[in-house]
Amino acid sequence: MTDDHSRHDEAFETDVRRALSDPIPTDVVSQSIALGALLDMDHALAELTHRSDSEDHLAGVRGDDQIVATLTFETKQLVVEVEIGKRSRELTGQVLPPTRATVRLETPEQTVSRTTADGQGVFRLALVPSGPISLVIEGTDGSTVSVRTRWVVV
Amino acid sequence: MGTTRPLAHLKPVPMNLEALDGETGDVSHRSTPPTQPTGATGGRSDSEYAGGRNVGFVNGRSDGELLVAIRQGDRRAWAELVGRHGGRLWAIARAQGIERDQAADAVQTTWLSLIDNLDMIREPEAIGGWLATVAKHEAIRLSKRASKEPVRIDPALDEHADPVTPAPEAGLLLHERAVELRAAVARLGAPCRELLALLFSDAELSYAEISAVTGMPVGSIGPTRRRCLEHLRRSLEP
Repeated sequence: MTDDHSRHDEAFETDVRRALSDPIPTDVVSQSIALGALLDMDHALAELTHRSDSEDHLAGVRGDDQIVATLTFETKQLVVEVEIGKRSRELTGQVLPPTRATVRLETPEQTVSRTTADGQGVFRLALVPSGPISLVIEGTDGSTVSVRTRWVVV
Repeated sequence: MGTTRPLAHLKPVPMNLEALDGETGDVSHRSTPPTQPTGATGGRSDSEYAGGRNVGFVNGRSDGELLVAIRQGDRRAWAELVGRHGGRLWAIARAQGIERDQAADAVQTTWLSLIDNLDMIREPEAIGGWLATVAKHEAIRLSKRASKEPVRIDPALDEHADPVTPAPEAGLLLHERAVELRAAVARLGAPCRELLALLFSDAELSYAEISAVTGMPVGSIGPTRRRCLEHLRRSLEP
């Protein structure tokens, strides 16, 4: 009787093991390996120190309503403030203290777009994709600013 | 926008999963970093998790050595670390009951989190445990998101099902049995569901690793395994 039980147990466990078989898909592995391209020692990491997602306070004035994500990234030297319209997918940002710089919008797969920050450090980007993004900010005019923001999803 | 802000004193942030989702609100209220897992997720120390795996690398590099190389931009070391731990992270994410596309996001997020935290890892040799904790946190976070959507409990919609290729008779029976079992596991309470998923995962986690992920003492895993399988079996009886 004990043998019958253990045979049934074994058979049941074999069934369970087969049913739960769920190896990591190869495309998940390749995607993870591809993230190695993001190993970056050239830029200081700007940490996310504030985030809120809220109704645009100007919604009533403009007659539209959209959720705006407000993010603040910081290094010891500077602050990057960003607002992204979740529906419009438009980004407005500012580097403080005001810094002329090139700004790249990156996903894990590619650089999506580039722009420049003006004399006030203000920059704008359109068509911000969903999924993880990072901003890479490199000072022009002889500035040594070389920063990228922590990966965020907006 | 546009007013000058005083630069805030930077607080070290080993984990910043809130960065990944505005729904969790103001990031200045953060949960405990993963190097000190809380009782809420039941994790043990990263070193306990890592102890079983980080030995016996004859010609290969240990996790700590890989991290040193990765910090210098070594992409082969990165690929090796991914290969070494990816399967387990997938299993841990899926064990929280999330869908495959969510698990893929959780795994990607975990690796991105490592990239952003490379300089702040306190125990490089225990990186396996750090990764496991981040993956589990992220999977749980995504699982709460999913609960806002209708729950699929119809086994016919099982994502493992291949609707295109008709299976031969014997294969069809096995397939139906597998679908039935997966649905039954999904209906078990969370502790049994998670434990069975980890125990029977293709990643072959050790009891020490399962203990670190679940918080269950190693000695209780065997008896709990038996009880959970009994629950499962009884739930299938007509």
